[in-house]
Amino acid sequence: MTDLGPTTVAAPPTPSLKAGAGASRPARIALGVLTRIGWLLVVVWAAVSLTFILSRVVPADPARLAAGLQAGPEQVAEVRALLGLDQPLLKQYIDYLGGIATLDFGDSIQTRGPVLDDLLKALPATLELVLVAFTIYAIVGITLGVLWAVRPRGILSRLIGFGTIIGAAVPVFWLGLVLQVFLASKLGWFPISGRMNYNDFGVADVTGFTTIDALLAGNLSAFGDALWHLVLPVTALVASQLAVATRLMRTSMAQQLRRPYVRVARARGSSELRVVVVDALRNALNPVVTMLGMQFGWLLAGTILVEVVFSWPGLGLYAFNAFRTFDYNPILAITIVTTVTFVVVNELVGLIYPILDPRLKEDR
Amino acid sequence: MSDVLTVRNLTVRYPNAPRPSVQGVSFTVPARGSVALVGESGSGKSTTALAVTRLLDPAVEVTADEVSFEGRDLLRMGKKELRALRRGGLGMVFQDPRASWNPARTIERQLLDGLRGAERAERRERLVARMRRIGLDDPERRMRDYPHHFSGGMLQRALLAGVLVHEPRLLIADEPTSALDTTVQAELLALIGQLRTEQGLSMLLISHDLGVVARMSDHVLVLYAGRIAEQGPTSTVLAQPQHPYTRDLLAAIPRLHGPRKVPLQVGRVAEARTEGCPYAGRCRFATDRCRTETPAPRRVGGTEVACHLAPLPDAKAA
Amino acid sequence: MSTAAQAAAPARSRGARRVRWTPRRIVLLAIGALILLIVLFPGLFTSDTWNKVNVADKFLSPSWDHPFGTDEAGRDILQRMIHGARLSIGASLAVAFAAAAIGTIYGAIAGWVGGWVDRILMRIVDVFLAFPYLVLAMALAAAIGRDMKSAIIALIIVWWPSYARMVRGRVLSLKRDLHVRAARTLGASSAQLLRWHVIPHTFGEVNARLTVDIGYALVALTGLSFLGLAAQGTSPEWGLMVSTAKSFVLSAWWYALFPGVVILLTVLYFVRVGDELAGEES
Repeated sequence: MTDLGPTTVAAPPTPSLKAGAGASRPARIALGVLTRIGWLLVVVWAAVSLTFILSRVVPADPARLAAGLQAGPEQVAEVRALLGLDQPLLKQYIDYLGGIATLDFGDSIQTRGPVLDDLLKALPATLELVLVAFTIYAIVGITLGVLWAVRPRGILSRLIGFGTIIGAAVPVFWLGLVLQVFLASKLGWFPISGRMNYNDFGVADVTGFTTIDALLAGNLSAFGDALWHLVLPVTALVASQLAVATRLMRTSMAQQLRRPYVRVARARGSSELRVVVVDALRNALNPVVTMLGMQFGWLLAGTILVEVVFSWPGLGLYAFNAFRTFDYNPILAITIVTTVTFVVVNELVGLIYPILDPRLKEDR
Repeated sequence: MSDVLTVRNLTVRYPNAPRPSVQGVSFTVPARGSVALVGESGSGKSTTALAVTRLLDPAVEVTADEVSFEGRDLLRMGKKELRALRRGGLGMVFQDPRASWNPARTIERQLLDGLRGAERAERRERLVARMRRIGLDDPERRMRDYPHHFSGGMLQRALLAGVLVHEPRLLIADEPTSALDTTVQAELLALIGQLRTEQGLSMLLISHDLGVVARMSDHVLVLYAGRIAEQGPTSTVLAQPQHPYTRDLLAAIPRLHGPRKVPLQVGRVAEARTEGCPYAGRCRFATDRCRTETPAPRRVGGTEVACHLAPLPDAKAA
Repeated sequence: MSTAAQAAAPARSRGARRVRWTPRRIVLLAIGALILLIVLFPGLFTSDTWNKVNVADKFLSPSWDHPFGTDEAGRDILQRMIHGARLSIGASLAVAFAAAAIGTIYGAIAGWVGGWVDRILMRIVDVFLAFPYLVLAMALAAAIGRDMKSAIIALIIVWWPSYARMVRGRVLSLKRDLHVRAARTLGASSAQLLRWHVIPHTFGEVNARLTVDIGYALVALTGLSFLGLAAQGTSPEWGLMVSTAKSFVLSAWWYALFPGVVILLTVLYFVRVGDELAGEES
């Protein structure tokens, strides 16, 4: 029905390697893994090339744009040399691809340091936000969808139904701002922006994940503060997407509950809870898992917006500053990192199917 | 207490349905007895079984003067008691064996679902023994397999074994063999018959197959559009049918020698009339009275029949 | 000949099909007319001085005179939004229509030609669908030039593949349909067949999807604006208004609130109409 945005369920093409069918099991697995990695490389290459071409070919003078409107000719020339824009286009392209292959994304104009260093510094903050949001998104979406399917005529289901109509249309950045204005600023229940401050609590920065570092230091008040900072950004991310998971889960669950084996399980004397959670849920999760993988891509974009709203010092804020200053190397690097994350997450999602459906196990 | 199941004046109505799916149906299943419900699809036979066992959606309206299992009121029974009954005295098998199993769980898990501790261990042991008896090799290992590893016939046997291990007093079998090949069907029927004599089990059989009914039941109810058209001892009803519908049903059985005697009149149960005799629209003998006045059941010959015209002239020939 | 006439009949009856005007649909149509009017003639609903700086009136909270309050330059937020509708909704329409058009043609060709052409074309679509599309749109908008035009182009680039996949699937099944085969036996060329007998039959699904996508394109576009990748400067584009409001969020709550509510309601409207069209289709 209404999935947000253009991506319908895009299962990566399954490699149909009939030639490998006769090979031994380890050989087949190795071949499968290689194909998947090959696919990942193709996708990343395409993303890089598309952005590269559009950034170098479409603007009349990329250096001029990058240097900004106030820049004088010398500054433009400096930027041109810095970005290698004085080189032939093909050479720029090859140099760039070569750099990426060795994880050298070039320097950032803004921070005047290697982009890789900036990325590594910002990555944990973003991962912490995304992973917490994704986990809550999956759990809450599945739970609400199941409740809706089990009691379709109840009051709760009406509320959920109404919520999904509104929820499917909420712009995440606006929701973030509204939460910030009312819950943080007016009511003061939550911090307005940022993450837990390591210095304030004397916690050592070991992993870059505030929650984990606080726990490692055994500092519960720091842990509480880390969670407190997460509440609003995570709420904005989850709430603006929840409708998608909830609706699909409900449809899928309602379908399973109509299947004969559910009646047989009831006739056998299984409790209703068992019928729903042990019998039907497992089968109903299949399409939802595919969707969750696709939604992760949306979550990555949503995180950029939410980080800007809450000044969350992660990749999104880094990207935002790069957008503003036309700092192109970080933008390309972030595109690559998110694309790789997205493709890898969807590959991992593919590993869940055989657990849900034993019929798929034997084909592997 | 000689009756296992008593149903009096059962009426079932789906939400927004023009007429009840089951209307005023009454019957009893005596201990060790076997009662069959026959009729075309849509006649209300499965709905009757589901209503009796409380497996219909709560939105479906079920009313009756009495539905009791061994004297206990099934319709007002609490959830816990009902569950205990389903794990013990009351066993059910359904039509499509493949669809009756959850594809994602092993058959052992499904068959022992909800049982815990000593109860589970003890029943598991009996299940293994029974599985071996129904013809499953190496049951200890095979029971840990998933449904897609089994044939349809084996799945239905396993389902039956899983039900019978709880030593039910009543088995409700809803078209247990319709989805199976003829040979597998015969084997399964033989198995059910054998287990019935061994365990002293009563049965409520739902079928559209008069051959199966003749073989497996001693009393039969012919349902049409949710009402009982005719009921009586199976042998009598099949040999001397008094209701035109029963006759048409019998005549519609394809025969090995010679053509079918009379094809069933064109029409479907869904188009049944709401006033008068439900069968009047399709009945070859229908009169004006049939179209306006609903016939009450009467005892005619050896059967009880709801037809104004019974006994039909020349009841022997169709 | 008679086969062809019969076979062509569904297409005709489709075009002539009467729409049932339920009260809900009349309301939806009326809202649509209002939106169209606002987009085409915003001046009808506002004073001429809607964009005039008036520092004396800055940050007035909502009142009868200023239902949505005023902004940092004393301008009426509601009036600015009425003028911004043309930008925000217009751009969303452009994105949805262009993506649908490109995707339909691409998908129709892939499905119609089949064979290795189809395989290559669809593999390209797979690559596009494997991107986290909004992140890619942000990168593309930044690469092309950070203005409305680049944002629209960027969104079209990431948005068309889903239509290509949908239309290809439809064309594959249409290819086997009787009316297409009948037209072919009458000697229609491939181009004629596609133009008259195949592509029109995909419109039902495409239209429903497209309408919903106008709403989601609005969410995406205002998101890009919020990041400074679409509308610039003092434009009354809705996403940019929210972005500007972000700086004053602690002093003027209404500034961020109302533009978002309007975006939300607009999206809901298009989703609702799309569902209505999809319901009509099935």
